[in-house]
Parts: sequence; C-alpha cells; structure tokens
Amino acid sequence: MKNMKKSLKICLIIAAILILAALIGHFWTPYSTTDMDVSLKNAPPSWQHLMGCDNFGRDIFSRVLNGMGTTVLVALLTVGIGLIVGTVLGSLVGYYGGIVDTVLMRICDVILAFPTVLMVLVFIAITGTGKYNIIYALGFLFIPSFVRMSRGEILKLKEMEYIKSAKVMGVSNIKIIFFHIIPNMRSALLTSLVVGFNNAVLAEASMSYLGLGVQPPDASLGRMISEAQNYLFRAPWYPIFPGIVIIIIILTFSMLGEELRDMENAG
Amino acid sequence: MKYVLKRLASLVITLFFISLVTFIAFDLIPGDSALTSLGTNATEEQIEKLREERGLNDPLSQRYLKWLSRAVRGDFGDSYQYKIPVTELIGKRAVTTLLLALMSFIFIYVPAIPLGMLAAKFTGKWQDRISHVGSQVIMAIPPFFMGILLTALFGVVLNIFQPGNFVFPTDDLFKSLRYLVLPAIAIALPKIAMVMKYLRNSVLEETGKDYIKNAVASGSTKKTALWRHAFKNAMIPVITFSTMMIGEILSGSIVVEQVFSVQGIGRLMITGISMRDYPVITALVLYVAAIVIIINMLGDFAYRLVDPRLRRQKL
Amino acid sequence: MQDNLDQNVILKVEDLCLSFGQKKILKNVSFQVRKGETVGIVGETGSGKSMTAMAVMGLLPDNATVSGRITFDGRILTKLTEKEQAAIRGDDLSMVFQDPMTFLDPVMKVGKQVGEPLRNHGIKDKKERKKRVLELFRKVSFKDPELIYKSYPHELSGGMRQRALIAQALIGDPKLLIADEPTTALDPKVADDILSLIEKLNMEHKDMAMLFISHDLDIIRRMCDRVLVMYQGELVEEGKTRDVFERPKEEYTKTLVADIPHCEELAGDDDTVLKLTDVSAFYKDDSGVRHDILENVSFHLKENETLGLVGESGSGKSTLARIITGLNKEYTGKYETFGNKPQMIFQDAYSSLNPAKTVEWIMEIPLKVRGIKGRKERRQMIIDILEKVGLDESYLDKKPKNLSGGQRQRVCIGCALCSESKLIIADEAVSSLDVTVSSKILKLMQDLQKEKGFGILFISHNMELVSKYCHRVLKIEDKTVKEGDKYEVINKEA
Repeated sequence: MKNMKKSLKICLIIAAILILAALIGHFWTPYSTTDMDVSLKNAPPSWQHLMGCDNFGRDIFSRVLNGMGTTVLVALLTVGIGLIVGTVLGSLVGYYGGIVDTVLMRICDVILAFPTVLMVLVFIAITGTGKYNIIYALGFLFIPSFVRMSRGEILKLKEMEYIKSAKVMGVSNIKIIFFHIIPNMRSALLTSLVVGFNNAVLAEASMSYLGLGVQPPDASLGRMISEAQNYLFRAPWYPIFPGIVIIIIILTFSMLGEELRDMENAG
Repeated sequence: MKYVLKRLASLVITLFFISLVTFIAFDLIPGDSALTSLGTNATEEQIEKLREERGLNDPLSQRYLKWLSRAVRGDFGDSYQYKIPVTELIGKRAVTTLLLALMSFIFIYVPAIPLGMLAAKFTGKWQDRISHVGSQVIMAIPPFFMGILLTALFGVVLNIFQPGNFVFPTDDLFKSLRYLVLPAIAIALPKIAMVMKYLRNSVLEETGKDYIKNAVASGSTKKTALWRHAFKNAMIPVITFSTMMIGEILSGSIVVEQVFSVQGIGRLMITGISMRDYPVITALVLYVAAIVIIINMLGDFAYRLVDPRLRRQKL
Repeated sequence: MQDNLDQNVILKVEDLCLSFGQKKILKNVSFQVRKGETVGIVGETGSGKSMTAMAVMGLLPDNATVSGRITFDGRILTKLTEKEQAAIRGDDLSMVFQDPMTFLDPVMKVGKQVGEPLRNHGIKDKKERKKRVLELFRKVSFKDPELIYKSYPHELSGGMRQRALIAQALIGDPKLLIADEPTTALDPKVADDILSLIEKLNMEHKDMAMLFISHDLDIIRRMCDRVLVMYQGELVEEGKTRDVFERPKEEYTKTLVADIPHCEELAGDDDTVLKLTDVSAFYKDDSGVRHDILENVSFHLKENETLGLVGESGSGKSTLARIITGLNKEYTGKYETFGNKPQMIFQDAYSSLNPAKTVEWIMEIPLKVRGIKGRKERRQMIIDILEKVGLDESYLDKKPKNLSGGQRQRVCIGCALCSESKLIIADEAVSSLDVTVSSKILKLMQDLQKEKGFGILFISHNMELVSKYCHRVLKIEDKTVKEGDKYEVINKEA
C-alpha cells in the first residue's frame, strides 16, 4: 500500500465506493424501488429525490442503486465463473499439453472469434432470459479468454528455470502448478479480471437494454435506460443518471486496469 | 493456393459443426415454439397440428438431415413468425447491416490512423494526455447510450435527424445511407478511441526497438526512421486487431440497430429470439459465423502480405 | 608537437558526464582515439561503456542529461543540430551493435536496408546503391551476395545478420567505427569468425579508427592497441593493452584481470557419485521420427571432483544435464546417481529463482522434500547455509528482484546445499555474470566442495575456464563425449 502510485490509489478508492454502493443497493435503498406515486411523476431532481423520479413516480436514485447492485452482482459472478473455471482449465492444459490442450484451444478460438453480443444472444435463445440465465451465458463466454490468458502465462512460466529446479528437487506437478506457477500469474490475472469485469458490466447492460437480460421486477441499469429512452426530453434525468453511472463504473475499472498494467510493467 | 483451399475446407467444416451444435442446442431448449406462436389460449389440437406441420415430432437426426439437405441448396425454411422464406427475410436486412458495418469501419479508420500517429508524435505532451483522457471517457460509453445521446443531439436539438424514418438500402440507397450515418457514428466513436490508442502504443513500442537505433546510427533523422521503419512494423499488430474489430462492429450494430430502429439482422435476431423463431435464428447464426470466419481469413492474408516473416512459412 | 598530435586525433571526449535524473551514469570521462587506432573499452555491466558509445553516436534517450564535449574529426558533435549529426552518422561515423537479431528492420529486405546509409547521404540512384551493397557483401565474405540482398532479416542466421550490419556500418567508408559487444550474442564459433572478419577489415581500412567495447578481456586483448578500463561510470585506467593486462596499476583492474581459480590435486580414492553407461538421447519430431542427439555416452564422476563438460551450443550439453536430473525422459541406456537427488545451478540467475517468493520460501523447498518438518529447524538450517554462501539472515525475507546476479547465484548454490546432494550440475552457472563476480562464485563453489565433498559437473562453452577450473574435461563432439587429458582437449581446439 505504501509505495503505491497516487492515481492507482484514487482508482482503487472509487472502485471500492462503487462496489460498496452496489452492495448496499442490493439490500437496501432509501425509497422502495417499486412503489409508485403519481404526484411525483417525472419529478426533477431535488433534495428528497437526488436523481428525480420516473414516469411512474418511482425514486430514480433508489432504482439506480438497486440496478447497480444487480449489474455488479451479475458482473462479479460471471467474471468469477470465467476466472475460476478458465484459470484452472487453462493452467492444467497448458502445463500438461497434449490432445486435450489442442482441442480445447481450438474450441476457445472459435468462441473468441465471434462477436460477444452474438454469442450471448444465441445463448439466451437457448437458456431464456432472466438474471441467472444471463450469468450462466456470460460466465460461460468468459471462460475462453481466461483459458487463453492463463495457458499463455503457464506456457511461458513453465520454461522458467525455477520451475525446472523445483522439478529437479522433486516437487510434485500439482504443487508446482498451484504453489510455484499460479502465484506468478497474479498480476496478469488481476489485469484480466478488471478488464473482464468491465466487459461483463457492458454486456449485462446491453442485454438488459435489449430486453434479453435482467427481467422486471429486478432493476437493471440497462433496462432502465431502455425504459427511459422515450422520456429523454420530458425527464432527461431519467435516462441520463443510469447512463452516467454505467459510464463511471466502466471508466473507473478501465483506469484501474490501466494502472495495474503500468504497475506490472514497472515490476 | 493450397493454403486457400485448406482454409476454405476448414470454413465448410466449421460451419457444419456450428449448424449441428445450434440444432442440438435448440432441441434441448425447454420451451415450445408452437406454443409461443399460438399463444397460451391455443388448444392441444392446434398446437399438435402446428408441431406436425413444422416437423417437430420427427426425431432430431431426421430433422437435421432434412434441414441440411435443403440448407446446402440455400433453402433455410420459412420463418415461423413472418411466414416467408428465411432467405428472403435475411437478404434485405443483411444488406442493411453490412452497409452499416462498412460505414462504421470507414468512420473508425479514417480518423483513427492519423490521430494515432499524432498521439504517438506528441507522446508525453499535453496533447497526448488530453487525447488519452478523452479516449478513456469515450470508450466507457456503452454504444446504446451513445446512440441515445446522438439521437437527442441531432434529432431533437439540431433537428437534422428523424429517428424511426429508416429506409431499406435496397429501396432507396441514398436515403438509407443518410439515415445510417448516425448509427454508424454511434458504433464508431468508442472504437476510434480504441484503434487510436492501439496504434499509438504500437508505434511507441516500435520506436523503442533496436532497429530504429540502427536506422538513426546509419544517418536517418528520427522522423524518417519513424515513417520508413516504425510505421510499417506498427501496422502489423493493428491489422490483427482490426479483424477482431469487425466482430466488435457487428456486436455493436446488433445493439445500435435496436436504438435507431434500423431493420438489420441484429433486430431480426432479437425478435427471432423472443418469438422462438428457430429457422431464422439458425440461419442467422450460420450467416454471421460465415462472415466472421471469412473476415478472419482475409485478415490472415493481409497479415501475410505485410509481414515477410509469415510469408514463406508453411502452416 | 601538440598540434601534430591533435591532427591525428579523430575522436576526443572531454569531461563527459551523463545522468538520468539523480542517477549518474558517467562521471568526467575523457579520452582520445587517434586515426587508424583500435581502442578498447572494457568494463562490467553498468560501468557505462555502452553509454559512452551512445553519447558519441548521439543516440542517448531523451531523458538523459549530458555535459562535456565530444569532438569528432574537428567538429564538436555536442553542438551540432540533429540534422547535422544525422549527416555524419552512417557516413564518417558508424556503429555495429550487440544483438544482430534485433537491429535489422524485420519488414525491409536486407540489401535495401544495408543501402540505407547511402540513401540517407544523398545517393538517389538505386542501381548505384545496389552495386555498392553487393561490393560490400563480397567484402564481408557472403557466398551469394545477390541472394542475401533479396532476403529478409529472419531468413539469415545471427552470424550472417552481423555480417550484414558490419557491411552497413562500412558502406560510408567511416573514419571511426564503434563496435559495441559485436559478438556477445553469437555462438563461440560464429563469434570467432566475426572477430576475424573485423580484424581483416581493419587491416584493409588502414585509416579507419575503431572503438571496440566489450566485457570480454580476451577479445579486447586480441583486437585492441590501447584499452580503457571503466568502472561505475569512471575511467579508472588507460594504457597499452599489454601493459594494462600484464601490469595493472589500479586495484579494480587487478581484480578484473585476476585469474580463474585453479583446481587442486585430488586425493584419489573417493566414492563415485555419478555413473553413466551407454546413454543415448533422442527427440521425436512432429511426425514421430526419432533423431539422436547423443549416442552411447559413458563416464563417471567422483566426490570432490569437478568434471568439465564442453561443446558447442546445440551439441547436447544441456540435454545431458536434463537427463541426469530427470527432466528429460527420452533416452536409452543407464545412469546412476548416489545419494540425494542431484541439484542444478542454471545459467540465468534471473529466471532460476521464483520471483513471487522470498528467499526463505525458495530455500525451504529442498528441505521440505527432504522431509524436515519443524519450521524453526528449517529456518535455522537456512540461516546457517546463507552464511556459508556469503549472505546472512537479512536475506530471508528478500525477493529475488532485490538481489544482484551474484547474490541470486549464491542463493541457488544455497538451495543445492540445502538438499545435501552429493552431485551438483552447474549449467553455464557463471556465464551471464561479470568477470569479478564470476570468479568469486567459482571460488565459493570450490570452498564449499572442499567442505562438503560433493562432485560438480561443470557445463560451459568457455574452454579456458573449464581447463583451469576442472579436474577433468569431457568434450561433446559428433554426438558423443571424448574424455582425455584436459590440456590436450583444449589445445586441440586451439
């Protein structure tokens, strides 16, 4: 923590605030996210309603907080699936090589060659819409990139002489993978974790915008924007605030990713 | 030549597998397309009749073979939803989407390459820092939100764009092009920032390399070394990156079509999914797959053309 | 007299200082190079020898602060504009770099690239440029100049690329040629050819002066009339090459030219620690065809003995080491090791220690493998061993990136000691270290050997080192080893 760059610290703090806000929003919001109040229909931002109210008179701030909760939860879970499954698979096939490696990499290449949105659409065509289905779909689609990343790292690392000398000393293969190699992938993993998180946020927002992701009554930032699109002029705060929150999340994490990469390069 | 044939063969095989996988996947789906088409009020008999009509009661292998034998002749069946041949349905929309993608591609690369070189030239100076912050912000805007902002700005504030007035390019090319400018910009903006950043970093990486030192030691000025040596080398990774970019553009267009109500394959896909219109989805998946694979092939060829290290290497 | 001398001076460096921020790289460096003379700069990593060359060439990074004066051929380089400097570079002043693999533009044909200096200096006619390039290609002994002309850099071997780069440096008939470690990245045999080529070209171009930079004393001795010794950014000694090497005045120069530690006589009847009988190594290519690397290798190694293993790169030295340590399973025949598993010390001290871990964690591995359970016990053993290899307790929590090359190699030796093995395989263990560090490490291994009595299989490409340091020498030739009197093996080579 001590010798961290100032810009990295700022990014980390903002990221922490965002995650915290999302967590809170997942369980508690200042107003109910579903209660409608006709008197507050399209009310502009005020001290009571920081981001104003929507066409049903619901508090936008509460809905944004709650939507953030859903978005961040979906993103964390999908990246988690991709990270764990992808890294373990990638490490194992990278270390042992052989036919399984070739086949798996071929499959990953095919999946990665396709536009993400298209793959998610096909997946949703199979699994149907909803919060959990989008998690499965995105989680599955994130596996290949983590497989590729960890495999590449492990191919590089396993040629290192300290791995050879561990083998010479008689350390077992599984121990070598998990205790000698994976700790050295930390910075590469961290960077792809952050990048993956961003992609997940964007993908979830896009899918929910298209009406194929999170379904009501669950709030989602993407869905809010799609509902708000028609009120752009009557109540500009309605689409603008959820949009800005998405931008802030993505911006923070992409800056964080960049800072982490810089740190990695600086050693 | 042998290489081209080999790649074409692998294209056909990949498409075959994709079709098989999609077919099986859709068979495993819990829902019933007949039920979706008829609504919940339909009687058992009506549903059964429709299932029979669509051949849903036949075993999977038989259905697949039937579909395959027709598909190789270019017949993908009729859409459940529109009741017209899928090929006819896709044709017009594919032209729209391809046109949109092409326009986006031009809008990305025409400004991004000079901007990237400029950013590399001004590296470390305030111009570079501003462009860096600016591109970070632009890249953070989701394409659909960018679309909404653009509609607001041009449609309502400046009043030079009418959302919803889409015309098929096959009907009126000029009007269609005019309508597609904004969607193309919405797709292109974040990608311009991406390509620019990528090119800048690539150029900077090359200028730090030893052969640039050697060029300078042989009497090149730094500027000649940049253009004669670094630029060409820096473009190699940008080309690989660009084949990926086309996938990204297609991704973007699927979403942006929805924002601007453009009748392209993205929109068709989305309605197809909500209506469980499987003949349409299967055909679209294969169609996009073919495009992506062909683009990757072209990218590989381009790569070989600029990088002599790959040219004489067997694959 | 003074004037007369000055007329002969082609390069004059006065009070050259260079720093990056707070870090001083060069401190008041002054020297001269006369016409037709070959001057060597010798020094270890970080001594500033390459930076001196870069300063003369005007190739310093933008963030460097320079002061002092560099005069070349009567013109003060430090006062010229970028354009005026470019007009001199590649014409009267040129340079050959260390690594031929990276100094050629990968997407430009070699012939065109070698002709670039001519293009930069106003020769617009393509045919004329080609004629000159082919002429030089013949001069640097290319067998088929036309073919090389049309090739891309990746199609040439390292030695060929270095020849092309030399041709490029000579194409403008330079008055001064700077060669910065021109053979360091090459195989010994190829390096020797390149040095001979430079010697030949130097004879042909009587007027051309040369500034030859190297860390290798033998090369400097072979190539240079005069030598400058640099240490930590300062010029510590200067003089005729023979004088400096045979009668060094400064303390640093003395340690630099100090000899490799010699081996001592063996008592005789020790136990055998390694025995190979008819070992053949092979690999299978993609189509499953077997290719032999080594055939019927037999030898043995005893306690207290240091056995040298020499051979060209690719001759199978490392393959043999990998077989003995169990890393390579593709062999036939039999080998026996006695005692604990043999330990290996690798060439690259930077990649031989796990960068994510501390010294304690790394040194614990062999102890854990040996089954020593107590954490405290292990810690105490590690501290004892650290002291034996010339380090101390404070190194326990350090990570490899905070250690110098020599310290890392000490930790590696420590690991080997931890395993209490009777056999240590040192694969080019000192090749990437500076001369002074390497002789300390060699001395350390010798001392530890006396105490512990292990046998060392010492793999190296450096004939001279092996002949002095090892009791016996094996040479790999034509896929098999020849054992014999070490002096005989070495002398045959020479």
